[in-house]
Amino acid sequence: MLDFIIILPLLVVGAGAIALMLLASMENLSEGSTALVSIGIFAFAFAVQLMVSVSGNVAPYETAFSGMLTASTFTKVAGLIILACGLFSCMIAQTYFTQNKFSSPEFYSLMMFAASGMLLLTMAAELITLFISLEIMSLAIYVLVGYDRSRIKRSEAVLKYLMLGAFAGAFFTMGAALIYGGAGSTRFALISKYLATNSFLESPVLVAGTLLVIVAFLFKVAAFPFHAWVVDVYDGAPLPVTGFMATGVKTAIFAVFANFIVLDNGMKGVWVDYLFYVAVFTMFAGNLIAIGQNNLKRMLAASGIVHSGYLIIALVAVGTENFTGGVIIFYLAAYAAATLGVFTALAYLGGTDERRDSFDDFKGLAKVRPYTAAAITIFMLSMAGIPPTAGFMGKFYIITDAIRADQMLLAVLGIVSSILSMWYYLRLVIMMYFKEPEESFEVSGVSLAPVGTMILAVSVFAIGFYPVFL
Amino acid sequence: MDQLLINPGPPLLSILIFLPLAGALFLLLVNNENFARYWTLAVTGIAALLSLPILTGFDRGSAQFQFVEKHAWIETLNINYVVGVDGISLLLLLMTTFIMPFCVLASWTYIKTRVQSFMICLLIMESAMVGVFVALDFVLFYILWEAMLIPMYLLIGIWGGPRKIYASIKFFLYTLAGSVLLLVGIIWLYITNNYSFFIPDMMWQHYSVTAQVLLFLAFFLAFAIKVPMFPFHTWLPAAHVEAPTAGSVILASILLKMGTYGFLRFALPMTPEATVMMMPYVLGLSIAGIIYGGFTALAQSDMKKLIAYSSVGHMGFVTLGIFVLNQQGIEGAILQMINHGVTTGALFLCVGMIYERTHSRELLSATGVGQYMPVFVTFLGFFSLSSFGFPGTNSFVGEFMILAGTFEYSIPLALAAIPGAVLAAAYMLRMLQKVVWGGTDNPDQSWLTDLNVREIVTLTPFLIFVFWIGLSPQHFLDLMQTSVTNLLDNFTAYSSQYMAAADLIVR
Amino acid sequence: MSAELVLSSVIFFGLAVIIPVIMLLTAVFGPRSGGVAKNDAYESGIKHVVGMADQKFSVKFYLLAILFLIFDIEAVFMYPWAVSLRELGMFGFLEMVVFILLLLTGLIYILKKGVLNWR
Repeated sequence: MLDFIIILPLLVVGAGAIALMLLASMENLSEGSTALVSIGIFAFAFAVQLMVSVSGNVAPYETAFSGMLTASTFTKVAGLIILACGLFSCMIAQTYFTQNKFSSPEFYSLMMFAASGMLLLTMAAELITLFISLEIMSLAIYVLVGYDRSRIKRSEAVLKYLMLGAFAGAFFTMGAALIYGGAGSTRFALISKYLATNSFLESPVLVAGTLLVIVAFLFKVAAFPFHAWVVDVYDGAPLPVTGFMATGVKTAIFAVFANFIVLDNGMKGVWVDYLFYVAVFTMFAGNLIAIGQNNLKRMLAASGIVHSGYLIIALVAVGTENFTGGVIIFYLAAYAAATLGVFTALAYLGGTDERRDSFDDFKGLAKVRPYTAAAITIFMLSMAGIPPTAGFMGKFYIITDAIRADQMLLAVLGIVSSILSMWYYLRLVIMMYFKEPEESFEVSGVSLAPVGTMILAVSVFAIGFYPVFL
Repeated sequence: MDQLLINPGPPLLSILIFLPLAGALFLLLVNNENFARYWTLAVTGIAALLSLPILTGFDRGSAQFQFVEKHAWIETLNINYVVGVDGISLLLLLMTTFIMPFCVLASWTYIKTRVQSFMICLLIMESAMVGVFVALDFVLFYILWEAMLIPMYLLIGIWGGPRKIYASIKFFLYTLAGSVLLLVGIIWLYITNNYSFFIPDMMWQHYSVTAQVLLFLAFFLAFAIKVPMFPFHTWLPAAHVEAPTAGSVILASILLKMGTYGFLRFALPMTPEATVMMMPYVLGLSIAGIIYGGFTALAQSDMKKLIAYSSVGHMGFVTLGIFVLNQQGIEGAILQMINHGVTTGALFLCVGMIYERTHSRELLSATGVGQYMPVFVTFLGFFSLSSFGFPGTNSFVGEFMILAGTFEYSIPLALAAIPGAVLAAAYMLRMLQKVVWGGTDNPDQSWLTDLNVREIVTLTPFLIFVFWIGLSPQHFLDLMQTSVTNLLDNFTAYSSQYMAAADLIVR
Repeated sequence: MSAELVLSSVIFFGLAVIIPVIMLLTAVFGPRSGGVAKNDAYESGIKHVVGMADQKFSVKFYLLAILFLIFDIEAVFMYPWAVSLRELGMFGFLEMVVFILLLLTGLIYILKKGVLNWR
């Protein structure tokens, strides 16, 4: 029964997705109520996940579903973050679709399918399960990205994401096959056991296999040199989807990435040297791209690259013994709160067809809507890592970990990059606060997103001061 | 933990930190400008009054940290909420709480737009500044140290002058960049010291010389930018000139002191060997700052810029006093921090009052106001005299002690610093002469009104302190004496224990 | 050179020669029938694949083909399951029930959406 307890939240979301899909086909469900139902389902799943986490059942490798799944505090909290991301993304969607008319109830169903894929991904402890969950997630996201077919930008985004995502999937499959060839099993536990007795570097098949798997992960989190797609895709995707992709997908992939990389010390030792450079280049490439952006969504996409860089630092610094992943989870939570916060604000500020999307469009916001402007400032500062926000604490833990792991250079470069990132985060603050307003930022329709913005603004501080995730 | 003294009674320091924050949070809900003004004045006033029991309850005979509060915060990383004051931070703490109400008064009519937001920024600033001076946990310190930048950034950027965006970003990025390595240093200390962020734990430990030098450089970069010391000062004039009066006062009186406070609190006790090694360079930079600040101030036509550059010079004196590493020097330096806070703060207030009337900070447009604003020029005269260390005023005592300490350390160095004092007289008297009398071609100033009651109330306490410190400095020196003696004793003990080159150490 | 090697070389070369020759011969002698419909390019129910790349065309056939594939694969998946059903026992049976139910909900969705109505 333990097996089923750990996938209970997954079952809730999956069943919710199917139920919503069937209801949608009956065509007797209004858009607004679909949003509310999906928010409710996410909230319920969140509560279930919370109960599962509190009950403290830990299923290490080899046990759950004959070794296909693993459950630890790490995966459970990752699941919590994903469900929260889903919840807030639904809030964003609810508001977004009061101003953009291309929604249908299936949208929420797909969000839930994506979320269930992500949940499965965090728990995957076997390469085939991993692949299947990766595809459940990706397929749903592909559809969501291209949901609005009427605009050429969206089509471009979905085409890019689909093609490159398929490549990543292919890489992963090839890598998994090679690992199976080398270690004789697709289960993490058995691979780990194999590596404990055999040297990693002596088996070229394993080296090639892990390389391909890591490439697939790096692609999905938009790390250098596989980051080129992210800006266009995030820009082209509808706002709620961008928010969900930026946070949920990243959380899921990093969770499984961490589970994978800590399999064996020898294996991690080999890749750490490369991940070091990946982290450094990811941070700086992301910064350079972000500095040049004038569009808010594109800037956030590029800054997402930078955050991936930080998370890779955390991966580099993570120890294979007694892995808890608290630092990674904390950073992901802080990042998700801030990013979704900005997106909830954009959901109601963006206007029809995402009219306001460049920095200039937010001139003087602080005068017209002081609370929203303050909230956005908080999110920006959190992303930039300025105390006392959660973003700072996240960076602080990562840097502490890095120094503890003797990666002093990486720590210093990480901070330098965070200073660079101030440039583009502050630009928005300057626009909002130091310029005179040119419009009145009217918002049509009653919506949930402002509530989400305020909740997230508070939680940015709450996560920072009460780091329950650690 | 033997350095901590837990006083019974209410948690005064925490109240001082969180009261303004709570006031700011309440102000978020308010939509009435006048109420915001009175509310902020009340909150800062209460904070000032509440800091008095700390003064009276402070045990002058002890070098321990007093009024300590300790609560576990983030247990997995052994981060605690620890606050406490000693002789070094006490005066700075009191200065902070006492200057804030006057900043509110100075902004009463100066700030006309978005008053609530302005007051919220001021209150958050106060929380952070008080916190920085009393934090005994390095993470707490760092968080507050950085958190302070944001309200200051907004103060300059929203309510500042014409080039506010440039100034605010320069201020922000400069100071932020300075603290980059500080964080790395903090974490290195944490790991080296058995995973403790407790500041006294890190002091007087024997780190390797290389580590000490690297740590010192990390500290130096952060603190020297904040002071600002000579080559790192370029953000200061820009920020000062563009900031609103209250912002300038906070910058000059409190923010700059954090750099020098950092040197005393962290650099000296944690990296004594490196301090001795680096001492000559720092002293050189101090002298350079004194001379450079003086000459540049002499050439300014913008009053705020003039005072800003004079700050560079005055802060040069403070770092000089700290790094000669003797009792008189350090005591003089701490006293001079207070003096500079009082005098320069008051001078910025004066300039702000002129600016409110003429809407210009140009020296030429403010010439010859003495005839129409007698009360104002009286205040200005006293503060100017204080600024260049006229005997009987506060700065005289501070500069005298610093120079005495410097003479004790090295006569050439002291002689090199003397021109700074002369230059200070030159630029201050130049400004005073122009403002009070001007020349034959003064603009028509007859429409100017003299100070009103609120403005007089704002300036008078500063004047009281100018003379109180100037005529009876012993009251203030008593407060810090034990702590400074303890600091130097520890330093000497450390030197005799660990330093091979005994001839290098403090004389 | 061993006998096997000689033999395999002969066969290899034989194939390399014989196959092209046969192809050539059929091209020359074989019966042929032509016509417009025969020469037309044909791709999955779409008649005019040559032309503008962004022209609109019916997707009905695609949808049907994909749906067919899904249920086809389902059937393929059921063969090995049926063979080993005894070893899998009750658990295996329930697994398949879940699988089929999931597909069934998909089918219901499709029916309700009217995908199978050929309009």
